Amino acid sequence: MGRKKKKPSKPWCWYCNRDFDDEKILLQHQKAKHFKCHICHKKLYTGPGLSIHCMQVHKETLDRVPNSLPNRGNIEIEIYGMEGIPESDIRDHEAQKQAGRITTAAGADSSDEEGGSSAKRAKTAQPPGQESTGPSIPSLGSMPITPMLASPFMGMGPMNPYLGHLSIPMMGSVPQMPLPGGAASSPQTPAKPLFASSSSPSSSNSASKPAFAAYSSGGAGATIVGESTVPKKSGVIATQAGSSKIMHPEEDLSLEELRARYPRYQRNSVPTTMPQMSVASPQNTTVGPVSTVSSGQMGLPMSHLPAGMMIPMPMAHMALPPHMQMGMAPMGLLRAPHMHPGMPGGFAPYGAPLGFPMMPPRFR
Amino acid sequence: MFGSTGFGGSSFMGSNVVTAPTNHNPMKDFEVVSPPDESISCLEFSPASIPQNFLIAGSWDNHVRCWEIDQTGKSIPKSQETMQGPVLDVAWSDDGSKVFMAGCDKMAKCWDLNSNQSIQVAAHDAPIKTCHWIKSHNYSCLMTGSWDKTLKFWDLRQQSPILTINLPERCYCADVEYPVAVVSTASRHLIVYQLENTPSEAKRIESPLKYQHRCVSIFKDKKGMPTGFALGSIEGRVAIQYITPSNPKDNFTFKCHRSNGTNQQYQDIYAVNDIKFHPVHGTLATAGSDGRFSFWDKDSRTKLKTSEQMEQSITACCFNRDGQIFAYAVSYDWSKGHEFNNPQKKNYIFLHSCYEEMKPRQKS
Repeated sequence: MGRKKKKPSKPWCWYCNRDFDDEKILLQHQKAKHFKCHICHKKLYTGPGLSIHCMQVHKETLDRVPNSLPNRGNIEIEIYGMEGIPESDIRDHEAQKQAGRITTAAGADSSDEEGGSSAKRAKTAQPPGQESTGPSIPSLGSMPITPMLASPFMGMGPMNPYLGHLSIPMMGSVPQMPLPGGAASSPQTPAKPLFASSSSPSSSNSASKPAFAAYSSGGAGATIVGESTVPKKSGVIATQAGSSKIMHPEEDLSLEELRARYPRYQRNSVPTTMPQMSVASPQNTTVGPVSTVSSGQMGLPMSHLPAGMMIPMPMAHMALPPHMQMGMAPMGLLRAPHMHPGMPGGFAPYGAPLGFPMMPPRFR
Repeated sequence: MFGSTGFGGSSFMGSNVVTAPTNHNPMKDFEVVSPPDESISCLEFSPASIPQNFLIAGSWDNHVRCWEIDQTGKSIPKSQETMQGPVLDVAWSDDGSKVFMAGCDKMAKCWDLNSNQSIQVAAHDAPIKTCHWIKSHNYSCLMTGSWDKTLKFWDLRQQSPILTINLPERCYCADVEYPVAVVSTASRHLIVYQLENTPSEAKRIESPLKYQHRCVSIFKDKKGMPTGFALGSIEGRVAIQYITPSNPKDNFTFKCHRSNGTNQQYQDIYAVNDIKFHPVHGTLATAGSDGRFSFWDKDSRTKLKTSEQMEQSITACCFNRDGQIFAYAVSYDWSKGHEFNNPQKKNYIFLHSCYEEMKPRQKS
């Protein structure tokens, strides 16, 4: 419908579609988030500025703006705050704001500064890009060439992280021209009033909510951009995502749990189910754990021993220094005998490995 | 004096002559003598109720050690206790006469420092991850949190717990600041308990973080009442969360313990292994799996300092009663699996003079 709100829209960041109350803050955000050199952390003023800095100072080519949405990574387009944003993207953003007011995509989380939420944005933003190809082309319709340019890019956009880059030659000296695929980035239907009237109530919903649901259920189809990913429920941590690696075993257990199931630390664990108010002796009571440690407990840690250790173990147990027996050192790494002066009696239970069956290798 | 001028190299320690060419002490801090033989899981300084500074450290070698730290930074080994499995947590009684120790042997013990006797005071069906002493005006008890998904409260004179609270998942971390306890579990559950009269659940808080929780520490307001907590995750991130935020924007998260190393393709993200608040300034310290510690001012949302990188991870840290000394433990935290456990590498506990460095950022 032709009703237009004359409210001037808030400043927003072209790279990540985030709204700001103040243009000053937007500039700060862009400097910190998108124009910061990842090597020396120098804050530059524009994308091209960053690119030139990286090239000249660090001899590196940047192919996209850091932390940007998949189709907004164009490093050559000069954007400073709200200046330099392609006209069509501004229009789409406004249209999307109109539609967005209905759904109010519970966005304003306070912890917005992080990649986490911008990654979330990226995710929500992508699938609609695919869906909204239809409505968005007409919105660009005023430019006769763009539909032709846009449609092939629209199709592959979400899959191709270099989209922005590829489009540069076409953009070139005409920064006002709409970015192909630019419209696709808006989380809600970026439709002109004409289309909004017919599709906004349903499609604005279907564009925001199901898109995310689709990601969380399907997962595989979505390209993950940004540094953090929600770990899957299956007890596996997505340690490697985007351009970052979490230094943690993939299994979603605490480091202490992982460590505790290593056989070395199980030898003295005596299961106690009832509290006993007995006076414990000051010295380590090294009761032979072989009998007390249940097979269930020993089952887990075996998979964590290096492959090379499995056969020699029972024999080597007699001759090798204790750490070798326990499989502490991966094969090929030399370890001198290492004594534990502070563990009197601690060696007694090393008989435990005798009971070990074959151990499958651990793959990490 | 442990003041701002109290810096001395490790050469100061006559008993601990450094011969290794590698710099194991990049901060040139005081080194605690006779450190544990295996990774240090927990560190606690004695409470303000006793004039001396005693430092307690629990280790994966099943021992709990106690040193006296004098004002010159010298450490004197005092005593040692043994558990039947790796120690996961230690706590002081409010009067500083007893130390509670809990760990993989599924029990908690009370170590009376005067008589040097220890008795078992608590038992669980699985390793006990946390123990905290609760002192209120009308009762005092030991709170233990275990991987058996329970939280238990123990009167030291009874064999059975005075209260058992079921947790939704395995207890991963907890903190107590009477009358508030915060417990976090696997699957990122976050529960706040009130401890007046009878401990009871006060609130469940949706996790502000997307990855496994690892450490939690309660902070107090100006009047000394606990108002919120800092929560650290394996994804190099800390959330500052108020229990009842006056403004949702008071809650925020920040990144820490990440590195853009030589390989610019990937950012390495490390776990936050420990968080502690400064007893005087209210600023906080985080200890990272990356082998660094950082000091932060949560109110001005700024970083005050980051340490040099240690040889290994920092697994635990704590402040002494008047906030002059920051103790941190350098040892392996299992974040790269058992293959990277190098028993040849020595474990260290360092004492850092921190009072001046932890002063909050001046409001300008």
